[in-house]
Amino acid sequence: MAPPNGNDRDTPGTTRRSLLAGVAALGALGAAGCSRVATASTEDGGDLLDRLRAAGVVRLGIAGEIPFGYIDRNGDLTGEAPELAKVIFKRLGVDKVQPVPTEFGSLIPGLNSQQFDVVAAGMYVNPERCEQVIFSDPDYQMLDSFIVRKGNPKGLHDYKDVVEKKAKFATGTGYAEIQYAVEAGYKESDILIVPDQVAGLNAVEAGRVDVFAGTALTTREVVKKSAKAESTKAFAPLVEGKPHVDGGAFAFRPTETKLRDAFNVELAKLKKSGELLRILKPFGFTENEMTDLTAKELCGG
Amino acid sequence: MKWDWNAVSDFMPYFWDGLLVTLQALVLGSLISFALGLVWALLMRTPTRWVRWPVGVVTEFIRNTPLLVQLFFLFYVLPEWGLTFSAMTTGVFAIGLHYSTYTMQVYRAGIEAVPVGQWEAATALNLPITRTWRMVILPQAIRRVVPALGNYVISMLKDTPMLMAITVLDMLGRARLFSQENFQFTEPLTVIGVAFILISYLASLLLRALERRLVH
Amino acid sequence: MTSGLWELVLKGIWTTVQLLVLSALLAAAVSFVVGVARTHRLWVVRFLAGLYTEVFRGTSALVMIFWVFFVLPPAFGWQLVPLWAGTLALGLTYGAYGSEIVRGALSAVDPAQKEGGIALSFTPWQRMRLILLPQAVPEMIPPFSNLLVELLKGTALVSIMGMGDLAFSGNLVRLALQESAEIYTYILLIYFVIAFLLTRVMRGLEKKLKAGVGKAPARGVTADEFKRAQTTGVGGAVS
Repeated sequence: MAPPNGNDRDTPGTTRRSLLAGVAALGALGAAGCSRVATASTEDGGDLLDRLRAAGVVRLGIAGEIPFGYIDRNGDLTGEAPELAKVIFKRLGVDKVQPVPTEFGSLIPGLNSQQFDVVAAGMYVNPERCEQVIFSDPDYQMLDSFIVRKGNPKGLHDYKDVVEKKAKFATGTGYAEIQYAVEAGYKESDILIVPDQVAGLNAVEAGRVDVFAGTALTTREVVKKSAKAESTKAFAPLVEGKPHVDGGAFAFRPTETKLRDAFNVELAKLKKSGELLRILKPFGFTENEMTDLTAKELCGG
Repeated sequence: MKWDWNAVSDFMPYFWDGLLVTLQALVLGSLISFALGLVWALLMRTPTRWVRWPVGVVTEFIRNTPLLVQLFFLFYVLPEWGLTFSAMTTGVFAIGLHYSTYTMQVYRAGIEAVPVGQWEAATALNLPITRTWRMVILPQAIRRVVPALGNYVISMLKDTPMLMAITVLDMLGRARLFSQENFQFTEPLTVIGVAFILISYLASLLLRALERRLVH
Repeated sequence: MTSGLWELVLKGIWTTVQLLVLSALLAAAVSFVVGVARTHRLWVVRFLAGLYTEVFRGTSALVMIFWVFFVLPPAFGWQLVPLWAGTLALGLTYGAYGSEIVRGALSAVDPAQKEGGIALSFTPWQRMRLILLPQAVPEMIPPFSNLLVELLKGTALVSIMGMGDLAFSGNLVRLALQESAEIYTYILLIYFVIAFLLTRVMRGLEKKLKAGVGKAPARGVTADEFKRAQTTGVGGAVS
C-alpha cells in the first residue's frame, strides 16, 4: 500500500503554520493573564507606590460594610476608609481609586494574592493579622456592640452574658469578634459565621441566632432600617482579661513598607490638622473615635 | 511549595465534621429531588394544559438558572416573606428542588421507555390507573433510570460546597473557616479537594456495579 | 433600584459573559484534545487522558476555583488575573465533562467510516479531521448545549470569591439596599434569558452542521425530537 504522500497539500486547514500561530496566540493570552507574584521586590521596602503612581489608580479592597467601606445606593464607592484613602493617595500622587468588593474574610487572602493593593475596610489591627499583613496607624478607635432582637429579650450586654446565657451567637467571616467570643469561653464550633452584617441582622431578626457581634458603628448603622432588631450599648471586649479598645487601619502587603510609611506620614498630618475628623464625621464618627494608638502597639510588638 | 503536615492534622477533626454535614446535605437533597422529580414527571403527563404549562415553565426556569443564586434567593428572600428555616434546611431544599428538575427528565425518559405493550396489557386486564402506575409502569421505569439518578447524586455531591455561601459548615465551609483563623489555606483545601475526588470516584464505581446488576 | 446600582448589574453581566465565553473556549479545546486522546492507539495517552477526566470530573468546581484563586499564587508564585483564574478553573473542570461527550460521539461513528478512511490511505489526522469529526460533531451539539448552560450556571460560583460577576452584583445590591427579593428575582431572570439565548444558538448551530453532513431533520420533525430523553450527562455517562 502506497504511503499517504502529501495528499493534503492542497487542502486548507490546519497547516503547521496555523498551528504555530494558534499556540503563539494562546501563549500571548496566557502571558497577559499571568504575572509572577512579586515575592521579593528588587527594591527594598517594595515598589508598589511607584507602580501605583505610574498607573494612576489604586485598587481598594472593601467588604461592603457600612460605614467603613461600601458601595452605596447609587452604586458609588464610599465609606470612612475609601474616603480617607482617596484623600491620602491623592497627596501621594495617585489620583484615582477603584473598589474591589469582597467578603471581609477574603480581604487578607485577597491582598496577599494581589487582587487589590490596599485593604480599605476599617480593619481592626490585631497580632494574628499583623503576622499576615502590615498595617498603617489606626485612623479610628472603636468598641464592640451587639445586634439583638428589639427589647433585648435575653439581656445580652457583653460576651460574658452570651456565654452564661448560652445564647446563639453569630458574627462575620474573619471578624475579630470571633476571638473575643472564644476568649470569653464560647465554643468556637457553635459560632454561626455569616458572610456580612446584613446577613447577621437577618439571622437575628429571623431568630436563627440571638445575637450578632460587630463594631459599634456597624451594628448601629445596620439596625436603622430594622423594626425587629436593635443594637446594644457599645462596650469594650476583654482581651487577656483587660478591656480592649480596637483600632481600625489600612492593610498592606508585608513587603510594601515604603508605601505604608508614606501613608502614615500623610495620615499623621490629617490627624494633626483635624481634617481626619472632618472626613470621617459624615459616617457617624465623633471625637470619641479619634485615636493616637499606633499599629505597633496593637500588633503587640 | 511549602506543605505543613501539622496544618493537616490540625484540620482533620474539622474535616470529619464537615464531611458529616456534606453527606447529610447530599442524602436529604437526593431524597427530595427523587420525590419531587417524580411529582413533576407525573404532573407533566396530565392531559390538561393548565397543569402542564406552568409546571413546564417553572421547571425549565429552575433548571436553567444557577443553583447558587437560587440558594441566595431562598436564604435571603424567604425570611423577608416571613418564612424562616435553618440554613441547612434551606440549602437542602434548594438542592433538592434544583435537581428535581433534572430527575424529572430522567423519570420521563424511563416512563416513555416502558414498552407500549405494558400499557395495553394493563388496560386489557382492567387494572385501575393507580394500580397500573404503581405495579406495572413505575417499577419498570425506575429500574431503568437508577444509573442516571445515581449520576445526579454524584453531581449533587459536587454542588454541596455552595452551601457554604449560606453559612452551612460543610467540608469547604470548614476549610475556609480554618484558613481564616490559621491563615493556611493550601492544606485544608487540598485535603477536601482530594476527598471530593475520592468520594466521587468510589461512588461512580458503586454506580457502575449497581447498573450492571440492575440492567442485566 | 437606582440607576447607579443597575450599572453595577450591567457590569456584572459583562463579566459573566466574558467569563462564559473564555471558559467555554478553553473547555472546548480541552474537550477535543482529551476526548481524542481517549481514543488514541497508545495506552499511555489513553491512560493519562482518562486520569485527567476522572480527576477533574470528580472534583467540585467551587473547590477548584478556590484552589486556583488562593492556593496557586502563594504555592507556585503565579498570579492570575481573576478573569483568567476563573476561566482556568471552569475550563479545566467542564472540559473534563466535555471530553466524555467527544469520546462518546467519536465512538458512535460507524466503524465502517474509519475503515474506509484507512482503505483510502488517509493519515490518522486526516481520518479524524475529514471523516470522523464532521460526522461526530453534529451529534455532540445537544449534550454540549446542555453543558454550556451548566457552564453558565458554574460562572456564578466565582461570586463566592468576590469576583464581580452577575451573582456578585446581587450581593452588592443587597448590602446597599438591605432588601433581597427584587434584585435576586431580576438576576434569576437575566440568567434565564442568557441560557435561553445560548440554547437557541446551539440549536441553530446543530441544524447547520447536520445539514452539512446530509442529516438535516425532515420538516415537521422539531428539534425536540432530537432532545428527547436527553439527560444532561453532566454527572457523566457511566459507561
